[in-house]
Amino acid sequence: MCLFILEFLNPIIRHYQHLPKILQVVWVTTLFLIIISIIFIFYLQYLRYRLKVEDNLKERLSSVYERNLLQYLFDDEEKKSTKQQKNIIKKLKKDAQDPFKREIIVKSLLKLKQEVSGSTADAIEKLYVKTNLKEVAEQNLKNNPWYAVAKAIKELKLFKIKEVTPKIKLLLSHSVKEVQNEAQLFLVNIFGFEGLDFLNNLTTNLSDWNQIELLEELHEIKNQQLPNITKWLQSKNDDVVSFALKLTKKYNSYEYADELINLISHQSQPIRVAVIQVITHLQIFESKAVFKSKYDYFSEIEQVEIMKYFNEVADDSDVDFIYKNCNHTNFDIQFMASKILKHLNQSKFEKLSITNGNVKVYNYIKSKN
Amino acid sequence: MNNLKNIILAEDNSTLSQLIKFRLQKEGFKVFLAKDGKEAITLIEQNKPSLILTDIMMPFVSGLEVISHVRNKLKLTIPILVFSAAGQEEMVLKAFNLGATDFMGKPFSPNELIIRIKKLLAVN
Repeated sequence: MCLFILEFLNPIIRHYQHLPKILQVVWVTTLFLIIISIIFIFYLQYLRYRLKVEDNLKERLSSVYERNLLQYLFDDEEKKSTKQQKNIIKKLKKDAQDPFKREIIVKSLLKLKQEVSGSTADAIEKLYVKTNLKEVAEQNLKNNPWYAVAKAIKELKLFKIKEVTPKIKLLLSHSVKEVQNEAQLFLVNIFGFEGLDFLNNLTTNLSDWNQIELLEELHEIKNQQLPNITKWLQSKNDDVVSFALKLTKKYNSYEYADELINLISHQSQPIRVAVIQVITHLQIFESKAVFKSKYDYFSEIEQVEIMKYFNEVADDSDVDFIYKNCNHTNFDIQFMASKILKHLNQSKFEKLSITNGNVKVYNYIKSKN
Repeated sequence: MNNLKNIILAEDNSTLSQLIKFRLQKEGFKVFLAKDGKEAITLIEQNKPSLILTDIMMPFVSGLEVISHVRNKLKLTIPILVFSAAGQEEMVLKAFNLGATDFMGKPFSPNELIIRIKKLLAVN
């Protein structure tokens, strides 16, 4: 066999040796790439096979654990702790020691837990504790890669494990932002508005996405009574102020009108813009005087927002202020001011001095009913 | 007489549908499970149910299409109770416009579901 191969290869090798150097390099590279490609093809085939086997196993185990869970719940329904129930707990406890199986068990429990409430949900939470799944999640809170810690917090939150709160609070100052965020979400999910106490001492960032997630968690809680948020509106952390403003808007908290008016002169422009937007949403009339007196000190972005505010609340007493803005160099301000003026005082609108700068806006608004 | 107790349950979460099936069977109902709207329509046409339970979001044929088919094509007046997840308020309104009788937001209590089903069947 070897002789046959050598005989077959000999002329090829001889031919190769007589080739110019550059062609030799090309041939070697081609051969190398072909070998690498073949190895990769076999490796991909192997990976596909492994994934398929893993998927099948996952599916099979999921169906077994779902059956176990249902059997457990049926027995629980009958208000009896049967031998079968004890066997299920024992089996799940044993399987939960394997991380692969543990993940499938948790997924199976969550698949049902997220769809039901009341006694069935309570029974699933109890099963989570009885099968030691809780203990493993608690252990994962310590000395693990950050993503395992974040995942464990999320799991404990979904199963509403209140007793781990002291451990979760310690993670509020974790070095990784994602872990901090999960810890914050846990506290809000379990304690509602009380869970937001971490904002009192928050010195790190609270991104827009985190704020949305926190609002989403708050949306789910039963008690929708907003606590006193003055200290957050006065916070030195701009992100906390921004979040407090979102709360003020979402919960239509008119009682913070004075605080909002004070925030009009906040040092951060994005905060000032957000404050004007909240004031507009709540239609706080008391801020009119402040806006008028400080109008020239505001940037154009803020002036546009102020004009949107007047679009909502302007009355006859604002005609002069609005009139002055009809010739503003900013198109948005000019347009809104002209529109408001026409609505408030038609005759004054018609007396507007027409310049090259505002003729188009003037004619357009005049043509509209 | 048997037809009075037939219930079609269209729900793509297999664990939830098995749980509800068990609870309803315990109450004396005969339950037919469908994992999507397409299967639900076939079961409805075959079994003449007294009540239909359907999730709004399902693969292939949605709960809304099931309601529309039952009310407009099959011209059935049986009660239809829809399940919806949070944030699907618009879908729920559409379901009512199409002829749904009642709805329950997820997560829901299986005990409450049984009470509602009994009430719906008693009224009808």
